[in-house]
Amino acid sequence: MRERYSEDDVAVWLVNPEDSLDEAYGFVGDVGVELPVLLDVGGVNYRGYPPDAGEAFGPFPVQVVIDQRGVIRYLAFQNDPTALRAVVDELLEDG
Amino acid sequence: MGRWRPAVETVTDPGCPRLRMTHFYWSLIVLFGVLVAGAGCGPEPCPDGSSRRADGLCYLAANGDVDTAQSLDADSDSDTDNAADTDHEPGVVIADPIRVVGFDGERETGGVLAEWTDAAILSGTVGAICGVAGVGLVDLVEGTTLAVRPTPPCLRMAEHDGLLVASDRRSQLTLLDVRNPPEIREAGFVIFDPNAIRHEDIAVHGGRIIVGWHGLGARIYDPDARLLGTLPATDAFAVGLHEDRAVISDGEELVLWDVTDPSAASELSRVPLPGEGRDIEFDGARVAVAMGGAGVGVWDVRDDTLVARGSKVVPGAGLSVALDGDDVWIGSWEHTVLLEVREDGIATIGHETPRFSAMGVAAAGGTALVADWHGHMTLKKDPDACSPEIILGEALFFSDADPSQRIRIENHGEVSLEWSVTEVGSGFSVSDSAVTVSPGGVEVVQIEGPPGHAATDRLTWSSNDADEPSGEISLVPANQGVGAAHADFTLQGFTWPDRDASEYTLSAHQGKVVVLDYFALF
Repeated sequence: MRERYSEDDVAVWLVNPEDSLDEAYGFVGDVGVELPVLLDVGGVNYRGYPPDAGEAFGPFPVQVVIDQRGVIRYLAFQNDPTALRAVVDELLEDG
Repeated sequence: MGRWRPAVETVTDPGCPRLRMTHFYWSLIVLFGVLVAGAGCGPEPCPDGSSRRADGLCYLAANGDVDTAQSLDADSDSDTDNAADTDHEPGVVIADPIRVVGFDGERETGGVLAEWTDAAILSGTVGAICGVAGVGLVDLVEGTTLAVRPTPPCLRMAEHDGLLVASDRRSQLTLLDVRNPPEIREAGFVIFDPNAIRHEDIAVHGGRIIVGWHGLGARIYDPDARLLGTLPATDAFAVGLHEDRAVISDGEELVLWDVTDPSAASELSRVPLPGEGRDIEFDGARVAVAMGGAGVGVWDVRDDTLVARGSKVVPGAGLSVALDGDDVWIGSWEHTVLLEVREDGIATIGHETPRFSAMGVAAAGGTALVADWHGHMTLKKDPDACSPEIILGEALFFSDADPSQRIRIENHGEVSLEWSVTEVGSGFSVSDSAVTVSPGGVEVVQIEGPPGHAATDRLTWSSNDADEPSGEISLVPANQGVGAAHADFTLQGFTWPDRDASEYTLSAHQGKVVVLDYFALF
């Protein structure tokens, strides 16, 4: 994801809704991910999305795409990198 | 998940034991019930239209909330019924037979986060749990922690005959000897091929260890770390082993292998898997698979062929599974669910709410041990449990377009449930602040949210369910659907390896596409 897009066009933020900075730092160090990790203390952002009504893996989305004007364009309840990239590509094409 | 097979099979009582009591004792019990609570836990309280089964559970007629075996072979999308919504249909046990023996645990153990993710049952009285804190032993009679050994952080664990294998979340497996609890003794270790990224699941049986490796298939080892053979698979996320048979999930399929000689293993049976294979339990005759959003699926092994018995969607996604005869325990984000394999499919017969999340579950002889993130919960299947059993949701979502929501309060117990609101966020109003729910019944309380409700609020409640005397429901503004402007936020964050926190504000990145990828640590 990160390699695919310029930082000027796309910000990819990992958001952790339940752990402390120390916990998240330890984990991210373990897996060596060099992306911004945001702490959504208490899951306030996370819980603000509508729950999935159907066959979701979890009750809340795991991936959210927000367009250049701040509008939500994609909510995914399962990790589907192909669909995610398609949405981002389309937004970048539209400018 | 590890599983101990009791030397003596659980005896199913052929008749209701209470019916053998004399009339005299019955009279006393009924009189006592009338005097104390107006209702006792004798055979009478089974709700209208239901009858008591031989095992003591109240049971409504037949053929309701039972998925047919065909549902596994058909399009999985058709299997959408939700256990929490259908428990009062005919064919369902409505008296919740789960008793909480105990919960024990702290957020931190020995200075590190506990984060228990897997469980095993070692004997009738001792279980084991696995997490970031290492490996722990649990007293299943008291529900308390016996010992914790800070081994490398443990993600998955399997046990058979006192040989416990704990994984370190990457490429090392530690062998532990747990034959003399509370002693946990290191018995050796396996270091895998450094090319491996991580393993996904492990199982142990008959002195052999099977490991599902990310991208490498499933590999079988002896306790001296010698590789005996590899079962090819594109994604062996979940594995099971019993004597000379292995079951692995391979992408969207479930495969049965003959591993008599692991170096020349042969495939015996392959069936479609309606969901992702997250966990497998295989007892030689039956396979249960936790399938994430698709819940749980059960297959019997007949003449070396996988034969579908049914599937069931569970609230909160099937994360882990345990088999105990015809009982299947499922751990999910929201519930520990007890299901029963019947002739005509699979039915839910009980729920219990974990304190945090039922990440891992193991069961034997009617006892289940749940790895409950910051602690562990011991549960007992107990048809004579005389308690109300509250089931209700943990969150309601309000928007200006839909400001009125329903709190659905179910009583899966045999005694009247008393539920009352202790506190509710300002601006919210409820239609009833206290309700009584009859055994097997459901009551609905309306709750109105204030216009422009922007921040998450909560409703706290109390009940006479001894397992859940209090709880809360999050009242969440749900105005962030596709097409809506994302609420602005400023969150603390860091970029590894820089540990210093800085602030990230959404509105400061207008003009860019922002991708938020939510994750949790397990």
